[in-house]
Amino acid sequence: MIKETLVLLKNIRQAGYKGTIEEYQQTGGYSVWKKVLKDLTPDDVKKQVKDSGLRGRGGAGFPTGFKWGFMADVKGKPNYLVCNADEGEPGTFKDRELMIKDPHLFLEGMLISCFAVKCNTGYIYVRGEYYEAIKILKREIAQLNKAKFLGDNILGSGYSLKLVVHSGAGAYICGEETALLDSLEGKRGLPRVKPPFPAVSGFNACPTSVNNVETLANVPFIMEKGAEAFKANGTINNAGTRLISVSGLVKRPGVYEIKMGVNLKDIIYDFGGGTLPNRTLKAVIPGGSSSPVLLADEIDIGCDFDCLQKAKSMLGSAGVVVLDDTVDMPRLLHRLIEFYAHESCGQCTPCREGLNWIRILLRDLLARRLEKSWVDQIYRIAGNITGTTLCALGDAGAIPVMSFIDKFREEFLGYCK
Amino acid sequence: MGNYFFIDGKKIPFEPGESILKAALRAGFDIPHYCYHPSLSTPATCRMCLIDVVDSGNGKGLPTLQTSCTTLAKADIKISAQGEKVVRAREGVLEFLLVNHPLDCVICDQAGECTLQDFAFEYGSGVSIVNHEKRVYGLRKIGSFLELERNRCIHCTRCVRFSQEITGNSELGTFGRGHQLTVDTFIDKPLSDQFQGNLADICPVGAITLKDFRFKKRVWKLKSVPSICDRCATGCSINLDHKDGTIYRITPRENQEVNRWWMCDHGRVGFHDYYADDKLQKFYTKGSQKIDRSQALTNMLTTIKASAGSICFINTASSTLEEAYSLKLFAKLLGDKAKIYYPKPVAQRKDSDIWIDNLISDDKSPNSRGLKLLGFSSLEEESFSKIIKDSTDTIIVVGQLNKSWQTLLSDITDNQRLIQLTCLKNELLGGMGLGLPLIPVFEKSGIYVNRQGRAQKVNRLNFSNGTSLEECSLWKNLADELDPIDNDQPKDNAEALIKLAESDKRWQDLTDKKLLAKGILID
Amino acid sequence: MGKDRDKDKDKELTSKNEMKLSQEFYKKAQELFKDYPKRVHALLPLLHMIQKEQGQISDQAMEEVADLVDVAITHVQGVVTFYTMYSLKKRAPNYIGVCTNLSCWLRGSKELSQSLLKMIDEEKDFKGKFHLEETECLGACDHAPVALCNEKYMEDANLDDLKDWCLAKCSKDK
Ligand SMILES: Cc1cc2nc3c(=O)[nH]c(=O)nc-3n(C[C@H](O)[C@H](O)[C@H](O)COP(=O)(O)O)c2cc1C
Ligand code: SF4
Ligand code: SF4
Ligand code: FES
Ligand code: FES
Repeated sequence: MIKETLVLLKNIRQAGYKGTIEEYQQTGGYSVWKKVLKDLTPDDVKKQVKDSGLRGRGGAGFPTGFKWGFMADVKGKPNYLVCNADEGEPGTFKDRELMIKDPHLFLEGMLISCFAVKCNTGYIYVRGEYYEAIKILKREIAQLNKAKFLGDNILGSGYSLKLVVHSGAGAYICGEETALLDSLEGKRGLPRVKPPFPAVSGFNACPTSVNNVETLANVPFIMEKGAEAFKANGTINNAGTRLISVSGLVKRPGVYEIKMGVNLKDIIYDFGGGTLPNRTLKAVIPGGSSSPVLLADEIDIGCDFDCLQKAKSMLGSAGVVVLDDTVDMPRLLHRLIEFYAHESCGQCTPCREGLNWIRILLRDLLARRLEKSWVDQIYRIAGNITGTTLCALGDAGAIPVMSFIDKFREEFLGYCK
Repeated sequence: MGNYFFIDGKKIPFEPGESILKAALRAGFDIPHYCYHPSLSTPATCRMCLIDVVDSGNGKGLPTLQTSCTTLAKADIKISAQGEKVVRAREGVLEFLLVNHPLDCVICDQAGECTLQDFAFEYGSGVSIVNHEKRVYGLRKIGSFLELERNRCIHCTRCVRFSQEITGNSELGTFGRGHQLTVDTFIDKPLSDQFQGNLADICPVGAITLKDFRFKKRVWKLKSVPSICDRCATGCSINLDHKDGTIYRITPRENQEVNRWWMCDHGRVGFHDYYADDKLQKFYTKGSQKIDRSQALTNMLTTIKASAGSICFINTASSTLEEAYSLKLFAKLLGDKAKIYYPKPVAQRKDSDIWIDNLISDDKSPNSRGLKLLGFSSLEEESFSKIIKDSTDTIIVVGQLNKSWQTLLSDITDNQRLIQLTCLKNELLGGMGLGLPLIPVFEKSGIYVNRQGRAQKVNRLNFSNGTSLEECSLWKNLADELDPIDNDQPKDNAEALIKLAESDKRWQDLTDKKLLAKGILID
Repeated sequence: MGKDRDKDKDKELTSKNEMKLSQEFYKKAQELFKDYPKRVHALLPLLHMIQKEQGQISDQAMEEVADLVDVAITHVQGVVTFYTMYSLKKRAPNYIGVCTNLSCWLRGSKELSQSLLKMIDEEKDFKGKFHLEETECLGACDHAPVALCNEKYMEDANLDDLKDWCLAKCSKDK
């Protein structure tokens, strides 16, 4: 029986914990923030985060310290830190858990990170449907201002910071960091051409770092316990703990915190409680809906960026969705493609036209209107989307199509005329 | 070592900071593309211009295909534009573009100059497997000048970016998202600017077309002559698209020094003023009596001969440099009693920050600057009025006066004589004097000097209505009558130009055809 | 919820609404502007306020807000038609979004949303009071199926609970 490694969920796992600022401080919260303000420079923080090997938890797994390092100091242009709380990848719900149940852990991480990148106005871009999280964050930020942990000349350090909670309005693509910045600027959320990267020209054409909620929530631990302590949780190249969102057809869905590298099968059985009564495991989507699906016999692998890549899938947002023998894969895929086609921003030809075409073809397939050869055609069409689009959404939609057909071809053929 | 990179082994020079696509196109290497337009920002969204960087300068290629419109050219990198990966990706993009395209090419005005047709032909797979209903957008009105057929749109957003970045009015926008993305104006609001025709030019497909040209002619049947627009002192470079003696449309011709890629709507459809139902081919006496050509010419000669007092020529600066010079020589022949003027050009209003807003000149004559260079005196409206009232004997107007000047002519007394030469509609003349038709600009070959002082070549179509007068030969004929032995009058524009160049070194470059084709700053 | 899930957000759907934005709105807008370097950056929150106030974003409101943040009207319309939380057409006062994405779908949310639709159609009292939508993942998949009822999540949702919620809304309105 495996156990959770509690860093981010340390407080949440305590019975009765409500996440108020007082409670958070009783467990030692904001002592790191005070220490940072008193004793450290932004470069000290940057270095420690870089040394810790922290990789982004939003999906791409880019080393956070490096990202901060790229931020250009441009005269006359302020630096910005924008937290990506647009969590929209189906099967992922860890950021909401953090924001609702222990907002101050995340906020302390946000404060320290803003300090590290010399940012005086930080934005938290929360997806619009997260009304509750938005309310809580706004309320708790007001508390922080009251406690003087935020505002002008914080605790006499000379450093000033303002945090703004910005609500999205229903567009998955705004989770992509450059689309998010456009959206924050009051525009349609269209992914931008890179370069320039946000670190050079981001929000309002100023140097900007976009970081995921969970990524930032790791920062207080790193600054308190040190880079080595952080690395101790996890494997080489995959430092720290990771929040895994387990959902789908399991007994105990929920968010679980593991050391990186813990076995996926154990997560599903020990934490998730295994499949529902009288069902057998069929497949697992390991990293949010866009990661390639794994068969039941492929899940005996470590859960980290590298292991899953080796298994030709990906850790992505670490949303583990469990599928059992009752699941009709073509139908499930159709629903997924409805999602991606609906969420495409529409800029790129392959994503705009291709995903919708596949949606229509799958609709026709389920209505038993297509001949067998169409299964290959659908596969080919998906292949023409991959690697040809501006942002990763095109791939995110096409990859499940290919992996579902690769692994469950018979089911697709079964729907053919 | 210069700045070169390689596409499929071919050496391509580039300027630092330039994209692969831009450098390739300049070198004459075609990479298919839609959303890229040299005048606009680069969204890199059509994905048509994908290329494979097989060696990024370090012996290693890039793992994924890149858009050549955004990838900067670097010395010695190697690009594949014909490798299997690229070919397949292109076929894919074209297949996607056609999934929802109505394929109504048979009735589409863009057919023949549509890059969707062209690229699908050249780079497409040639196979279509689409077997379901296509997307249909509702009908839209975007004003009286253009037709918007959104079902043909390939969502390149060139039109939207034009309205945001070139005219700056943002009257077009992109709405919706995903496969419901569409371009449109706000709730049937008509476009309001004077540069709408350019939208039809930059739209790579038949989604935006000119109402004026709708269903008029298949474009491949048209022949094209490069020329200069005569509608104002800017002198935009244009192409005259014609067939069987009729102009069907005028499109701008790229000229970075003058009009970049654009022209205004007035210049675009202004040719209808000349080629309306009543082409002015008729000759009139005072009181609007029709007379025949030779009679009219005799009348003109008699009038000039009979003028004991002063003769005043008003040239409205739609004459070419050659014609104006020829008039100058003719006036010289008449001696001191002849004076030539041109209406003082309207001063250009202040520069706007938006480049294209400065395109249209407030001076509506194409050659005021040329006449000034020839030493013609400019005339204020008041002075013109005075000239008329001073009982100038004979007034000869060459070209069409604007309305208020034309009105002044009604002050003419019975003792004065008026001759008007124009190529516009005859009712404007009002029967106040002798009226003779001139050939319009499209039948002339000559030089205009624009507002910038740039001499530019006007080219003629090879057709003429036969009866209208050519200015040089008119003056020549009259001169021969007045002084058959000792006149230096050139018989046509070509001869006039030679004589002009002989008269003063400053005009010499104008005889160099190659130079002139590009335009020469002479002032 | 049509047959084809993709809602047509084209402007055919706009409906005239001459209602002016409230003084309150303009006051709040001034506060919001302080949070951003440029006024237009506050466009999304401003539109949220309008959607809440008027149940739609009308042509009139788009023009007013375009003036307020100093952008072209097409910019505003482009934004309104991009995001699913804004609607050009007036929505019924109470919103119910049933997540039918991956994990919720696996737990029968599609059937739930269809039954809900039927129920709302059939109950006379519910007429015109509820705007029903199928949504994408709401980020609470461990409690699938999830419904967003106005601004609150209903986790582990079922038809009975949803009906109770609707009834409560109706009695409150009376
Ligand atoms: C289509 C798409 C959707 C994304 N959605 C999210 C998201 O909801 N939340 C998130 O944190 N990152 C998301 N990302 C990843 C972000 O682009 C970006 O990598 C991330 O915010 C960086 O933060 P990190 O370095 O802390 O992971 C998405 C990326 C793509 C291409
Ligand atoms: S891949 Fe899709 S979502 Fe991403 S920019 Fe292109 S069209 Fe938009
Ligand atoms: S109307 Fe023409 S220019 Fe405009 S987006 Fe469509 S294809 Fe491009
Ligand atoms: S021309 Fe490069 S992507 Fe359109
Ligand atoms: S799938 Fe319904 S909340 Fe995530």
